[in-house]
Amino acid sequence: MGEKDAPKGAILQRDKKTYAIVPRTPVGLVTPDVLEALARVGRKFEIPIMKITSGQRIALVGLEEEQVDQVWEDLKMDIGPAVGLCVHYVQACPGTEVCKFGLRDSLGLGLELEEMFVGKQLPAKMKVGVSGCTMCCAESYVRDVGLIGKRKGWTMVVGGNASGRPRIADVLAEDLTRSEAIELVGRFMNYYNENSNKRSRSSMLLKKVGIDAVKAAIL
Amino acid sequence: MELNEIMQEVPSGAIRPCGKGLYIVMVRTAFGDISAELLNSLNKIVQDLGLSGMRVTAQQRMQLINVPEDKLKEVVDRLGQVVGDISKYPVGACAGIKLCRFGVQDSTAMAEKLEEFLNAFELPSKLKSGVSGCSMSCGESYVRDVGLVGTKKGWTVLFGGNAGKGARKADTLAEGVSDEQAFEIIGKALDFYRENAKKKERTARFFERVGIDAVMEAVNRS
Repeated sequence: MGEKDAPKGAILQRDKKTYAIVPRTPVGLVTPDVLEALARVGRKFEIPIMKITSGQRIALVGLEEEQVDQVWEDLKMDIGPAVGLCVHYVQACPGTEVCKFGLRDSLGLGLELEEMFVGKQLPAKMKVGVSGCTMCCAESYVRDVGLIGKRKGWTMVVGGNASGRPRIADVLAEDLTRSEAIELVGRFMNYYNENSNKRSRSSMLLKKVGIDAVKAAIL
Repeated sequence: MELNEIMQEVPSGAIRPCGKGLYIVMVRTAFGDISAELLNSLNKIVQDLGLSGMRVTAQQRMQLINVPEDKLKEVVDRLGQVVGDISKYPVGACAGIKLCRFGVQDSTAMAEKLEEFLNAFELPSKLKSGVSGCSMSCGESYVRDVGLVGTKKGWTVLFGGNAGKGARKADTLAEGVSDEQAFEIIGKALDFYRENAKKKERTARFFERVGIDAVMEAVNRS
């Protein structure tokens, strides 16, 4: 798809000349320093288009090839993977940190998972959503891996998809502590790695093997 | 100025309490479109008032987080100069034909039209919509109350999806229709929903209760 020749972390655009980059903003949090950096490069490089993505990130679009490295240099931020077969992002609702309905710390767990897994190589891309209550604002049931905070603990669901071939995720386990949840996410990723065909999303794997097979293998 | 007065000045939902005397202030960004100028203005507000930063939401919006009550007025006043109103029934869109190599229909232009169209309705519950420019469906149209997916032949019209609690894959009302036909179908489906749904009943629950056939009948009625 032309990505191989593209400069660092850049995505070729429709005009086949310019590129987009997506800096990493874990669980959508933009600190004053990051905001300052984004505003600065926006001004300095006269970036024509900036867009918020549904992965809680800000894409800088319309960069010339030679600008890509300069912008990264100036930003001093990490790349948020937007192409490639790996964990792309962890999305999280505000949870107990910011939302009055939150039952569990979705931002905290989301950040921890982000830190551990973003960029991890897998058979296909993977999206993760962590919600702090059953209202499920991080859309956990339509992500490859979803976590939902309930009074008794975390519920983990797998194999969801929100796009062209939508699928509602299956419940893998309930009442998990935070550390149990993190461990199980890791175990699920390994299972997915070993059992899925290349470019086949977790929703396809679940459709093929069924949730009981996954439970038998990793619980 | 009293908190109530500030709240009344802004559209409902623009300011949300998050406990401990702190508030979230939503920044209006249509379909995730922002600019260097907007980021600059937000940056100035954050730096000048010493706020803790922002959060990018999955609905392609931005919010200033942890705003103390005594700074709300100034934040709202200063934001008011850079952002307008918040829409009643928000529409999300994928990157669209201007940005994405794969786009076959103009999702952002359609999303804008849809948001305006939806403004005329008074519905029993909240309504989320997603417009995607190709069948990859990056606007997550299949898990929104109203979804549109662009194909070479026109639009696929979807209804009754949900991505949250009680997630549900939407049903297809029509395929390969023009902009105008899509609005006619959505209008009929929404009229039927408005007349028959219980208060606060989302389209996904409504669909499960009445069934696809009842909705199709209403849509096909001339």
